Amino acid sequence: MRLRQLVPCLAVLVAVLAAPGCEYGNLKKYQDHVLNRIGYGPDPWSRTRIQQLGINGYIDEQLDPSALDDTALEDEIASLYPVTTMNFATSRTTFNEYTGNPDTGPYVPLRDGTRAKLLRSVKSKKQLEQVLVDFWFNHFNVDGNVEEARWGFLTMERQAIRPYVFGKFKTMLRKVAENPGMSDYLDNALNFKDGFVYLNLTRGINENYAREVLELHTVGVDGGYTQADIREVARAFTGWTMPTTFQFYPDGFLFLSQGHDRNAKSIFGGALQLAANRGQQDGIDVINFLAGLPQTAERISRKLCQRFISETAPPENVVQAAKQVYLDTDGDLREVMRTILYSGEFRDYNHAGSKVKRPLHYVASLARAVGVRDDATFAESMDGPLQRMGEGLYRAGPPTGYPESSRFWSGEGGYVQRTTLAWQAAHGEAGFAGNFLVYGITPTEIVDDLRKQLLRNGIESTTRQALIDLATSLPSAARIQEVAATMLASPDFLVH
Amino acid sequence: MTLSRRSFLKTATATMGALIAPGALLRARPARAVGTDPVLVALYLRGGADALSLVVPHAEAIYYTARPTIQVPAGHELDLDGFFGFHPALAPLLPWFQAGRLAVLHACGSPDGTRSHFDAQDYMEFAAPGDKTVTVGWLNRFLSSAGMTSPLSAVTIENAPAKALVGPAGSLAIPALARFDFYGTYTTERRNALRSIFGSTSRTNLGPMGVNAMDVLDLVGTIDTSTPVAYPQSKLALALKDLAALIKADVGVRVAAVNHTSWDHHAYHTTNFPVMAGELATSLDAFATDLGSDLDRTVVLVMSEFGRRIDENGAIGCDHGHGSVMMALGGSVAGGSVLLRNGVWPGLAPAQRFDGIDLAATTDFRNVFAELLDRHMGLSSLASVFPNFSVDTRNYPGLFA
Repeated sequence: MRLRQLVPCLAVLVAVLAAPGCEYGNLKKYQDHVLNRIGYGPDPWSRTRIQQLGINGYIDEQLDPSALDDTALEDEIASLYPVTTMNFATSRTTFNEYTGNPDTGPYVPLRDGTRAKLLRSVKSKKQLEQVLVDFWFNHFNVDGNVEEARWGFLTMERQAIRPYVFGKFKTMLRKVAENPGMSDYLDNALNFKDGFVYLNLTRGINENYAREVLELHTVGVDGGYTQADIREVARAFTGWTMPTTFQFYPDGFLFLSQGHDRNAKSIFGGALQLAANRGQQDGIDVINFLAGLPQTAERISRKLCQRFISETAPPENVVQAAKQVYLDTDGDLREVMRTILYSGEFRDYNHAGSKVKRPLHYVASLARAVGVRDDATFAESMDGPLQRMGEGLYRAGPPTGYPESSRFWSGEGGYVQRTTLAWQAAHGEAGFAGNFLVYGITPTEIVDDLRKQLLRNGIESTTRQALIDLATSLPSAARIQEVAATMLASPDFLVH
Repeated sequence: MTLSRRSFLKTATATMGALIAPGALLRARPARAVGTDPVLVALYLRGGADALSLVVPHAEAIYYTARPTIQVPAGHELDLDGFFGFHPALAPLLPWFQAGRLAVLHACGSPDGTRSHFDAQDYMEFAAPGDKTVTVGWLNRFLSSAGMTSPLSAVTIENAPAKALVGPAGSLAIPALARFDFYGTYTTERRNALRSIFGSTSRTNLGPMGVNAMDVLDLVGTIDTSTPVAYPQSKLALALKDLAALIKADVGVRVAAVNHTSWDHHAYHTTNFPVMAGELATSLDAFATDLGSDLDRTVVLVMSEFGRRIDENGAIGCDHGHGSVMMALGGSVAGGSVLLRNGVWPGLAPAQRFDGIDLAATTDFRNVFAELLDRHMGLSSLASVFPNFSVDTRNYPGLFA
């Protein structure tokens, strides 16, 4: 059947017919650019919503998504993937045995966490929240393949990151520091005062977390610290560890005061002085101090501008404005994001298409463009391709997480994998629905109808012509799907 | 910028145009002697591999007092020259060393003292210590200097090019040969369409990815990846197995990059280090065996961003350090010895340490790179490969006789 119609698509059609006058074409382009940047691309619901609310209204709702209802999705995820709702101790107890049964082994959290994240990326109405959860998880990255992070990465996302993407950075930083996935991944669980005997071994300082909390989580490598500062920060965090039994510590955090270095500390040339015998407050003060530094404010603002505006040339005026808002609001990330998304530079259409979609973004945007026929099949099918494209979810090895750079995501091997996914999406395989709203009959009409659904914010004229030539060369029954498969693998769909 | 990229695309297109049919290049290759071009493989140990555990200075008493828990106990090392010895897990590499095919360079590294993984890796891959303005990889600059611009000249067995290979000369990134195939129906028609689309797109941020992929699909698809050599089951081994297949097929690969990750042993050193070292040694042994006579034209350079702290930490591990170890295997490398700058070991005593805590780096890694490009790859003019560094043959570490 030539006309493939879905109920949600009718809503788009209504919105299209209701759209006013001569600005129509441009407005659609801007809308799709915004949907590509603060979400994982347009789907029927988001196109209708941004048409109803206008771009500013849509952004406001995304910045405060409490009124958006994802209940059905969250219920589905909880039912399909119960590990995603468990606390650390329960997850660790339930999935700690290498039994040979893939449904009970320690890889379940990674497997099901990946699937849950895929479904949220595609189906959540809170698109900006999903993008920001991914951004901040990546900022603090732990590798869900290793040690205690196997069970900790999901609670880190759920308890330390998601509640604060529109909250205070310092709170997120502290919750992450307490997470057992992080404290094991960066070895702070083994960071004790020199000479402390614990579990039959003589322990001492471990610098790993201290170095990365400075270099990666807060001020950055050029943030003005020395090797001596790393040592002092490490001493401040001695004793922030994991319990050996979890009965009274379901979230997996324990401050072991006997292992804490009680001596005074001095950080950043004395800018932060910690008196002796302050226990856990040492680490909390370091977190609040680092979170409040202008270097941290600037680095976070620049990173966000690279994500949302331009990775190669984040506009300095927006970086500085966001930094100032951060400093004025005690690091309120909702207000920092509002400053960036309300800047003229964010709306500047010259930035549209300047970034290569990362693999998750590509997969989710495919699913949002053509629909999902079967959630569980789709989520299960995408894990392998994401790993082969280099973005296995929760599997970034180094503490930097995955790079933002487009260059990193432009490898030939990854591209060939994308052509496979585009074909599957167009043919309704791997859980994709393959829904297309095509009324036309001639090759040109088919290409233009598909473009209106898949690439409303533009297609290069040479690409359009090559697709018309392709359609012409194919039997008519094969045209819609093969042209769609090719359009979804073309440069215009690979970028955002 | 745009111009050079476009001219590259044209060159690549012209060069590779004949490859659309399966195996075209293999059949159409001119009557040049097969397999004589030198190949350089950059094998990067990411995370700061512990140099003092890989190649143990077992004649230094301080080594044992600095590392009461994580030392290779005296007598357990595999002695190389009476002073240094391999970690026992490197046993598969010992025959290569003894046969004179493998050279070890100790106490090498960067003149920049950073202990940040990410800065140190960048400085090394861009061969520009301390200079964050350089963003073209040293091997990419080599490709430009040597006029090698075919997409197959340089390959990273990974989803993205290693930074050492990033730059205007282009390079291929293929994580797995077996997965490099074009799936679905009407593949010829769709590939021709995509080739035309990518050949004319003005989107520069995608680079030559699409054209390269369409050009080399058939060629890569015809390469025989089977081998009688038993590789271990690790990501590194699978990457080296694919790379060996590419080199043996002689499809034009000249420089290649492979990563081995997770060498950041702040803790669990005694558990995890032997596993990593064993994976490295068994994989490299299989690779060198698999290459057979192609090893004569291939040098593998093993490197890491820095070594680790001389004194162990309080968590059965050691923190980030400075001086590192490198290894060169294959080609006409004059192996069988541990090379030191002027033959002098900087020492582990407190007064001999870098910053008072780390092994000093007396051999600048750029001299190792330079000697390889000069003596192995045959590049005569090295100036453009090493910005702000004057190459002096007298500073070569002496990898070649």
